[in-house]
Amino acid sequence: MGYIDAMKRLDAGSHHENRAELDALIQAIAGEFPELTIEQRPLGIVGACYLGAPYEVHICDLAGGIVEHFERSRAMPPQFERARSLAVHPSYVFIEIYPDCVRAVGVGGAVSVIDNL
Amino acid sequence: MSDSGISAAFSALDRNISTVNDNLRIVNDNIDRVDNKVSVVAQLQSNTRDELSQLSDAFAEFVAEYRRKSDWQLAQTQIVEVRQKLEKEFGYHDEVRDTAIGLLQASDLGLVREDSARKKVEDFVMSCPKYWLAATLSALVNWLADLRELADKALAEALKRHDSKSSLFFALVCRRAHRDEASVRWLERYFQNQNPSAMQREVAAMLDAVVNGAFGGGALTTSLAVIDSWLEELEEQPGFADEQRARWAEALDVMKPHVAATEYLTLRQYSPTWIRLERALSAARRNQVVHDFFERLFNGETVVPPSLEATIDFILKTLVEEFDEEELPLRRELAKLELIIAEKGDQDVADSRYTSEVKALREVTNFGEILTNAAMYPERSGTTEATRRYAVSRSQAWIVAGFSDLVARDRAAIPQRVELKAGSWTGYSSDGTEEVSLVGDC
Repeated sequence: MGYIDAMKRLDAGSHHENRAELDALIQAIAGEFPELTIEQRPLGIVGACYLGAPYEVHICDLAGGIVEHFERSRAMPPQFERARSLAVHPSYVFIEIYPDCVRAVGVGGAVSVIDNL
Repeated sequence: MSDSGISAAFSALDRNISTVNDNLRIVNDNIDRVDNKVSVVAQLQSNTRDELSQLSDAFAEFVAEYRRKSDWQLAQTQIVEVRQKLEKEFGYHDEVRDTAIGLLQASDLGLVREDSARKKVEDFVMSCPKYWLAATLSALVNWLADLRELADKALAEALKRHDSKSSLFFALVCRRAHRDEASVRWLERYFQNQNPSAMQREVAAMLDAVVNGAFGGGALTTSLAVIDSWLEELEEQPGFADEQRARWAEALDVMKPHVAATEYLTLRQYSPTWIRLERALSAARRNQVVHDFFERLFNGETVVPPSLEATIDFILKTLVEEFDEEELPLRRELAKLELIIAEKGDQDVADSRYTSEVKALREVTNFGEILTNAAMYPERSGTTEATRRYAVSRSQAWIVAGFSDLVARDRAAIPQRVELKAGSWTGYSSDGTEEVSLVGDC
């Protein structure tokens, strides 16, 4: 399962009931960064949520091993919340969150880097 | 007690109760009065708070305006001092520069006697003991006068003072005199002197010479291959590509236009979010400015110098008119003061423009930065339209990446909701669709 496909599956919803599937999903995403040490890997990934109202965004917390969907009115943890505007912007597929920067992956695959957001 | 006694007692009690009731009524009236007064005082307090807040804003604006005015006046005074210092310490350099091109042209036409030219240049050598151009001119006039020994000595001194600038100067002069073989050899020497990680600023002039075909087609192909090898070398260095995209992002970010003070008056007055909105608006408008900039660069006419001599004279002029390294600290100070004056004392804007533009005045830099400077700051790096186009096309990947970083940064900074505040009322809007409920609430 490719990285981007794995990210899209976050909206499929089945992993809510199936822990093994959730672990496989997180593994697929983490497997995208084999050349990086754990400290260099993203803390997690934020994307727009297509489950429908009231949900707006979801996070895949790679460090914590959880996927969570957030309603429009509910704030994500601060390190993820800073990327909310970008996550809901139609130009980006998802946003990787690092301790010192965020990387926005565009629809065409180009990556934009924002330091110290 | 008799019946009449009891009746009298009740009557007295009734009167007392009635008196108590009257007193209670009076107390209630007094409480109402106090209540009204408290409301009036609360309203007055709220008004006072609003007035104080307005006064505080007005005062902050007054202080900022006063500071801008003071900084502007100070810059006006300091710029005079810096100009005088430049004139005193490097005024002779200006004279050497002014004379160099005239000397070349006059000797073409045989308008100047060799001995007067040599006399003039000898004066320069004595007045500017460290300036490369003075020694280079001395080598040239002695060569023209066929005084080989003196010419060799002056040449050795010129190469000692500044090898690559002198090599480039002779490459151009030889090419101008149609001594092509000598010209290409000087050019080779010039290239051998370059380190792509720490280049002298006059490489911009060389780039211009090559791109304008001043050294001929063969030299152009060789030079562009050398440039490609420099860039390959640089791209292998960790962090170089990131540095380039950051440099381009910085250069393009400066194109943000000001939002006019007459725009969005209501939001300015009633929204505490206005500062962030203004920043977002200015950033969004910058995109069109960037688009127009590149469109003009590639669609505008290129001014082609009418002849090879004119091209070489132009590049030579750029080379000799360039400031010497020794002058740079004062030139940088001058550039900063000019920016403060141009921005009417606004230090923040002047600092931001200085950080970005003044890099064109740094002594040594890597070739990637030279490309950025050539494309973005032609007036400071002395590059022509053709070179700017070459620099942009060679930097395309970095420009696109830097621009997308900028756009992502600005998109992330757009406020998710806008606060509206009028007196004690506060409301929020995320996209304007809440108008009806906000009006009702207000």
